[in-house]
Amino acid sequence: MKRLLYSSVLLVLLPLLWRVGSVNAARNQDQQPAHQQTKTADKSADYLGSDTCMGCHEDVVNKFAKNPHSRLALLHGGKGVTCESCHGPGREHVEGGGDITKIFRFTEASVKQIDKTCLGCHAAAHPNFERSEHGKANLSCIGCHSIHKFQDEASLLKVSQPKLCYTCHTDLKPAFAQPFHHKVDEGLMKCSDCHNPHGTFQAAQLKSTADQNAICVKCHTETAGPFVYEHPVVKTEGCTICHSPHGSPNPRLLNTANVNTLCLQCHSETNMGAFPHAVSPSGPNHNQATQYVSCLNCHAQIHGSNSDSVFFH
Amino acid sequence: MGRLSSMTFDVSSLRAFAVRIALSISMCAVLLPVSSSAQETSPPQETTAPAQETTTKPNETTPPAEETTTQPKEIIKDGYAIHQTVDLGGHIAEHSGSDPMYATLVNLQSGPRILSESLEMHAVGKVKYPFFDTLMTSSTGYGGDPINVTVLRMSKGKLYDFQGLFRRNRQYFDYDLFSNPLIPDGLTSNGYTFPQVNSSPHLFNTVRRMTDVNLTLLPISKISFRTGYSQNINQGPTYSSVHEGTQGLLLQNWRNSTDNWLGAVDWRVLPKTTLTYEEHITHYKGDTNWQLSGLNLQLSNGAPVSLGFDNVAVPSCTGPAILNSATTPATANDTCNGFLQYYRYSPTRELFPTEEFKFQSSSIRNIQMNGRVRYTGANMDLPNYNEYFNGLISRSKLLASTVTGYSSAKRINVSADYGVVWQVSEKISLSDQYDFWNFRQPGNNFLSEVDQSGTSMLAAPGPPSAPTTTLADSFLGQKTQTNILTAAWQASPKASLSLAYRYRSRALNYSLLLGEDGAPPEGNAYTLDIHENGGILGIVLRPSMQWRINGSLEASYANRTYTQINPRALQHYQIHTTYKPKDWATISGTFNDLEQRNNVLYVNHLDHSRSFTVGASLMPSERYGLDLSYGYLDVFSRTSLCYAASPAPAGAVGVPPGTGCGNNIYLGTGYYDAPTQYGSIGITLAPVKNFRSALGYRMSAVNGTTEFLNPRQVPGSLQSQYQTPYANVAWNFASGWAWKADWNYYGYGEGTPIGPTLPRSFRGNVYTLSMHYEF
Repeated sequence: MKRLLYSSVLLVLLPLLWRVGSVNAARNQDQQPAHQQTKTADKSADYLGSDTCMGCHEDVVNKFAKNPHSRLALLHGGKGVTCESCHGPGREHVEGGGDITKIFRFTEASVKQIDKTCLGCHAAAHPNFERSEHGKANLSCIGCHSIHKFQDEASLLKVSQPKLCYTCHTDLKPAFAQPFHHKVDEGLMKCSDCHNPHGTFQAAQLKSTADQNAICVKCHTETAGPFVYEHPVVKTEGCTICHSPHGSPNPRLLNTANVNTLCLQCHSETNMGAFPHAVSPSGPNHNQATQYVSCLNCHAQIHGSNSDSVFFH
Repeated sequence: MGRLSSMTFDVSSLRAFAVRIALSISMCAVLLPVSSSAQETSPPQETTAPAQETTTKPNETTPPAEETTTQPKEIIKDGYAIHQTVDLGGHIAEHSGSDPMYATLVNLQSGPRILSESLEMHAVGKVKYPFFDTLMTSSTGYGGDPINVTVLRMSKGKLYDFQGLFRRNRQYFDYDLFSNPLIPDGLTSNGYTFPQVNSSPHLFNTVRRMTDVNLTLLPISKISFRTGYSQNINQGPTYSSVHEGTQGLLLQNWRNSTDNWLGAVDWRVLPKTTLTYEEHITHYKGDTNWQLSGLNLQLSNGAPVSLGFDNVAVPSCTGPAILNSATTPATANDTCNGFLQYYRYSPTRELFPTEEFKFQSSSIRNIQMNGRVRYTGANMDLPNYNEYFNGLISRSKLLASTVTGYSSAKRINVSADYGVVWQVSEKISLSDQYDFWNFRQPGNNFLSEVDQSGTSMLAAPGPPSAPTTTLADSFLGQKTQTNILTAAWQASPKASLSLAYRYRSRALNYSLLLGEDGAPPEGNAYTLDIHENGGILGIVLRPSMQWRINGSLEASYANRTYTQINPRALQHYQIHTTYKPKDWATISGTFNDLEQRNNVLYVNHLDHSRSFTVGASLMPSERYGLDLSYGYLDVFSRTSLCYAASPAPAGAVGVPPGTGCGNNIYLGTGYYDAPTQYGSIGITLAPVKNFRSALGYRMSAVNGTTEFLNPRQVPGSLQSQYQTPYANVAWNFASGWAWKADWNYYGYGEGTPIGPTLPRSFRGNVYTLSMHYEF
């Protein structure tokens, strides 16, 4: 309660400490395209506005009204620029009769130039991108996104998920086609429900829940705990110690066809010295050929229990 | 054991429904061009192939035939450009074979549907509107599909962004081999044959409803505010089981809900530096309860009783297990282990407040860095645990027991992460990422059990015993520190290399102490320190502008592991390549090989996951296109394990001397291999402007093998094929109107033997007829 009150007070007080102002996308020393950042003089006169761009690029400008980037025009007292916020000042391009070498073209720019341009505004939202797997693979922003020819309006993606992701991650298409799979192809989930393609601090660009739990727990909340009697590996090793989250030929996305094999891999007395946790079922009470065909028939609360140390209930 | 919902349909009513749907759609096709009237529209635009559906469609396992319209797609009204679409129609579904497997894998039933609808509104002109400049909403699958999705997005200039998402998913799971005891054939007692369990004892029939809403105020200001709310409700009847002398089948009334609130502030303190504070509060309510089910027998006094659902041998009782098989239901022996009554209530509440502080900065030249600190102080409270058993546990002569108690636990979770990238020169960069994560979970549990003795379920339970109390103190904690140092070199515009070193340390701490009736607690406690070193080599090649090759090689070694199946040694090889010779042609391929081993003596764990996949997408014109995919996957693992089985499975190996398997007499390998082949082909055809079609075929086949620990075990889905061919057409017969027809086939089959349960193969056809209208 005290912590909540303190946090609320902080939230309320913070706005009083500074001036609320709009971000100005057009000021030279701020978020210009990368190739413009070396210019130090005030070149605002070189920005002509999207009405000028419309003279030749009418189709593009007309469709831009639906683009969230169009709100850049609202900045700077309603005089913000849209096209030139990304493509750079257009005066030389116009005076050169449409000279394409006088304007920033994303299709001809290097990966670093493209990323710098986009991250000039979006770095706060995607701070891990440069260190992410996609960033290290030199995948630029326009590898997935298209400002002018998007098909997925939500994130300006060239193609909707998961088809976009399958373009490179061809190994995942067969995984989601297995009999038991998370319903990505059916439209219930997206790749971005679990992964952040712009990178995270976690491995495999996985997200985490608000309470720092595995992202699986966002939907499978009953496994979050904390439990009095934890199945420790769920918290220390993660859900993939037992499950294959994309798809599996095994029910419940298990890593093995028979759940007893999965359990006995760890719960065997082989080399107990190296594995002190390895509580082992002792026979003949756990005769695999009798009613102990499935460990889960008795150990039903396998993700953790608040009432039984052996997860019966 | 009965199924929890009926999935069967009368075929004659199916036909009648199909005729009605076809007639209705045909009438619309004839009448609408006559009755349509001019509306206020924007000037006619040149016909273009529209973008693919931007809304996710439930059960869209097939690429839809895209609509083309020859008339304006927007209406200008009250200052908004408005575009709406609606798809109304229905499914005609029929299937043969396994109803449970069809419901588990497909679950599409006949009936009318609002297949999809969408509304887009964009402000036009200079007029300012008070509520929104842009509004987009779409919905799919309502009317009976197992997946329903609704999306709502609204925004107004600099003022706010709003996003809302609602998803509903009916999850039906009944794979009959899962947790199945596999009753042997011919198990009889006194003329009564114990029935096979033909459904999964852990069947699921739940509905999950997830709502996510996020509001950002002043999104492009120096300071912006975010608030959000998420809700996840998962409920429905399921089955579970409990062991009390024998296995009782329980009706598990699943009911869990989670609410999450978010409040956040983003402050762009400098042009390239942002500070963020977030407060999350998550509240979990677990109200699942359990009731006895499967009372398929009776006692001689008529009381319903269950002798357990997993009797793979005739129950051992004083006398025969079944006293009289001529009654309905059969009369069971009152001295067998059995269940008369059982219930369990375990209402649990959890609260997870989390504070998070983040920063991101690229204000320092050539340096980008970001970091965050998070603190979660979670609490779990189970104030009133209540469990009641009435039956017989013959071993302890227990007729009834009542267990009450309470539990509480905390999780204190602290994490800190920092990442920095330094562009040393134009071609060289260094980056480092440090992660710290420490969680501590103390917990305690108090249970009081009152027992009542007896030896026959026909007799009333004896007097209550003095309570037996159990006190538990538990602790689980782990501190993890990881550092990844990376150097990258852009050798040329066509090649770059990166080399990373990763060090990770984990300190694990566990204890569980149990004390009964005031005795000093005793139990298990240990600590574990694990250190891991690894390296990652990355290569990016651009032989040409159209061709990209990405490769990585990762290798790591840990001094020890927590479990036998965690790897001490790991190698991961990945190659992704994409070739785009033309704008309309993309060819891609992936090789992915993960090799892991834990070569501890008498464990010898080895596993790999290998895949080789290729794909091609060719769309040379609007009139035709081709999509091809092929994949080969192989998942393998083996681990030495100890087990007991009598009778033993074929090929069982006795435990060699010195292996140390305790009372278990066999040493298994845990062998598992699942080679899988996947193939798909899809063709789109649009021979004329107003007609589009698509057809294709997909198949996934796994031919796996595994060690059987049980002589009645069968491969099941480990040897299976799943085929899903499809076809669809879309005919634009009038302005803004399209008639659409889809056919999807679902064919699932398994290899032999099937086992003692029912076969799991099925064939299904789903025809979807709909009318699409956009205006």
